[in-house]
Amino acid sequence: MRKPKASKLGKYRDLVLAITIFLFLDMGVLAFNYYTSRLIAADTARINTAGELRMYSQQLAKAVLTLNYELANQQPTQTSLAQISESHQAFSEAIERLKSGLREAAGEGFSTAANSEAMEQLEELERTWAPLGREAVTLLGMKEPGVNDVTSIANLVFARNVRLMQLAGDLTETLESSALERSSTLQTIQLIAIGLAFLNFIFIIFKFVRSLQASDRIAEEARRETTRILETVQEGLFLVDREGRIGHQHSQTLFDMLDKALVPGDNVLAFLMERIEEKHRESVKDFFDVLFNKKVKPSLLKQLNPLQEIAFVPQDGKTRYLNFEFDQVKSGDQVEQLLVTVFDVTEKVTLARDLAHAEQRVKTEVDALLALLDHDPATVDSFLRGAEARLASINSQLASVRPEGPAYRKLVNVVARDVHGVKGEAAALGLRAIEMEIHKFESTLAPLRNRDDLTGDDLIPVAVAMNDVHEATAKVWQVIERVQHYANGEKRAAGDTDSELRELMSQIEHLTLRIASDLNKKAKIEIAAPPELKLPGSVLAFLRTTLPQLVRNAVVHGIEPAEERQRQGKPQEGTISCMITCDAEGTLLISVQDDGYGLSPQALRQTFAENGTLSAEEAASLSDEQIVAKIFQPGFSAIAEPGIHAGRGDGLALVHDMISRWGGTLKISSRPNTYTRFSLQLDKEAWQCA
Amino acid sequence: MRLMIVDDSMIIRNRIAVLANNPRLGKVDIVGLAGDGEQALALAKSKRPDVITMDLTMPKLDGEACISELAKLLPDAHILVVSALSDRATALRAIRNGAHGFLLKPFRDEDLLNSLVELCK
Repeated sequence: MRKPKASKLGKYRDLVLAITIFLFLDMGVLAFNYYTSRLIAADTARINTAGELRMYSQQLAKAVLTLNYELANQQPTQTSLAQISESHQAFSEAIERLKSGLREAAGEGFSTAANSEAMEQLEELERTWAPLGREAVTLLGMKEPGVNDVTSIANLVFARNVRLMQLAGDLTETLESSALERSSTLQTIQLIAIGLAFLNFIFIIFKFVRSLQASDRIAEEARRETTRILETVQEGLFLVDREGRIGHQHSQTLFDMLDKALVPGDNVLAFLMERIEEKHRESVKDFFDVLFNKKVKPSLLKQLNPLQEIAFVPQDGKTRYLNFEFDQVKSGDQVEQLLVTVFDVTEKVTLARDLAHAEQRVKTEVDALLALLDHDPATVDSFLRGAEARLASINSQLASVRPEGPAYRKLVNVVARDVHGVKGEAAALGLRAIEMEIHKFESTLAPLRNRDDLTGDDLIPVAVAMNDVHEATAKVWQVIERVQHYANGEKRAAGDTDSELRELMSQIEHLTLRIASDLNKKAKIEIAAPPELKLPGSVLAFLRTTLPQLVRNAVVHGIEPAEERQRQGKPQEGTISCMITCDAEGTLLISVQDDGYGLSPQALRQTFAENGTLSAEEAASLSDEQIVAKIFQPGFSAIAEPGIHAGRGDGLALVHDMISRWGGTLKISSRPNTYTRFSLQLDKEAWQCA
Repeated sequence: MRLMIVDDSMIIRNRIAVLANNPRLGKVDIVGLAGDGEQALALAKSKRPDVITMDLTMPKLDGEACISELAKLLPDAHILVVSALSDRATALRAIRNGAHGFLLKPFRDEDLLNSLVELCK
């Protein structure tokens, strides 16, 4: 609804009105003063003129008598005649001036009784003067007046001069009393106007003081209410200006929540930069840049806000989790300030984390249980015993290593390779808890692998992480024990390698599909192993270690994402073939092939140079065969960031290590964008005697 | 509303164009459909749209560079980024370059309409 126009002046309306009246009154008094002074000047002029009439009448009488004397004594008469002429003219003009002056005064509304009386007196004076004036005109009209000519006017002068002087005197008195009367009226009017102006002035002062008191009262009440609100709210509330400064009004809890040393005027962004984790700083800075953008809508600000459940480290060092909410405070079209609300959500975040941990623990245990139920107990048993044996061996090596840098480094690399094998087997069995713990363990080892300056202290975290892996395997044992309580099924005969191979192949299939699904790729696996093939347990253990690494490598590095495959005209789903055969000479052939990118020496050169495993010069100096051979060396990976499935450069190194130990051969063949095949061969003697 | 739709996918362009006929948006004139950044700039110069939906990953001139140019060319126009790039840093960069809204692909019809209505408030 449109507000009425008068309200534009708001509470000042009465004041403005009073001041306007005051100014009008003042201007009125000034104008009246001007007018009054003009009237008084006119009155004075008329009084003077009336006085002059007496003088002119006297002058005329004197000039006539002088003329009479001069004519009688035959003396020159020019001076007398000139004086008669001057007196006559001055008298006549004075009468005319008085007449017009009195008419003017009557016209201006000041026709007082005194004024009318003066008019009558003037008329009588004119009547008395008229014959004398006529005689003077006649005399002045004669060429050479004689004594007799003057006698007539001289008689009139004798007869009327006294009367004329008396009348002029009366007229002067009358005019004086008229002027007095008029000036008294004007004074009264002036006094009234000044009185009114004074009253108006008093009104203005009164009104002004009252309005000031009223607004002070409202402001004080508002201030008290704001203070009460700011003292009561649990959230941190404050305003931030365009320069990022904290305003003076803020909730009492604010500085308890953020920092007691903080004061109004401090820069909030600079403060936050010191207290939040480094990884959030850039996005918080960017966010502050758009906060004052008037076109950015509140819902978008909420969406972009990085200060949600943010870890905040105050000076006392105890991390809290805070939510910051921002609302733009606009003045007209511009965003002048931000209203910032801070919530302490530490309790909520901690609870959510505890819940997530508990859920994860339960899930891991359930997963372990389900994974165990999926597999042959003998296989799981064999894995767990093998894993524990390897962990025990690592422990003893850690205890007995020579205390010098290079020996530590060598040990770290051996340990890394060993646990990577355990990880692959755990993954194949779907034992996520063990797989995850080993992944964390590998992350602990990673920064130590290239250092020659290692000390015993550097290995402390390794021992701690080893303990976690131990605990994970122990948990699986516990689950097995619990399951055994309920188990009443027929136990599979140990050493039934036929079913163990089938079991292994099924695990490999599951592993392939799981890795593909984790990486958002589409892949299937075709497995071929002749049913009549009988493999000893040691070869099965060999396969259990090597096959997971090879199919993992095929899915991670070989198979392209579905869109990429589609672009290349391949089926969206990649195919991995895993074949185990025995030829006529008894040689065991194991191959894993994918229909993906193929191996490109040039691409490997570039990747190794980019992820820093080789310098650009080293990469360029190696032949194609040499660069391909690098993928079997520990620490060489074609992935920049290690993930759970690849990136540490240990998988193929382990395969290489195993085949070397068995005295077998390893070949790679590949065609760009068509296939990559890893072929392992074990001579009859090697695998049948193992 | 004079709407220009910028996206390298014809399917997305057509989808937005169909949704723009919704009565909630009032009268909408689709003044341009562009498949890349350069085409978008040329159309913006001649057609002067007041609302623009903009993809970020496009051939020739990418969305971010295009937004900066459009913001200079049409300072009063409202730009809604419709992109599959979901990280906060991308969104903030787009807003700093001159966009005023951000919608993630794939979007629901309702979300696009709400974003356009809010943008034009």
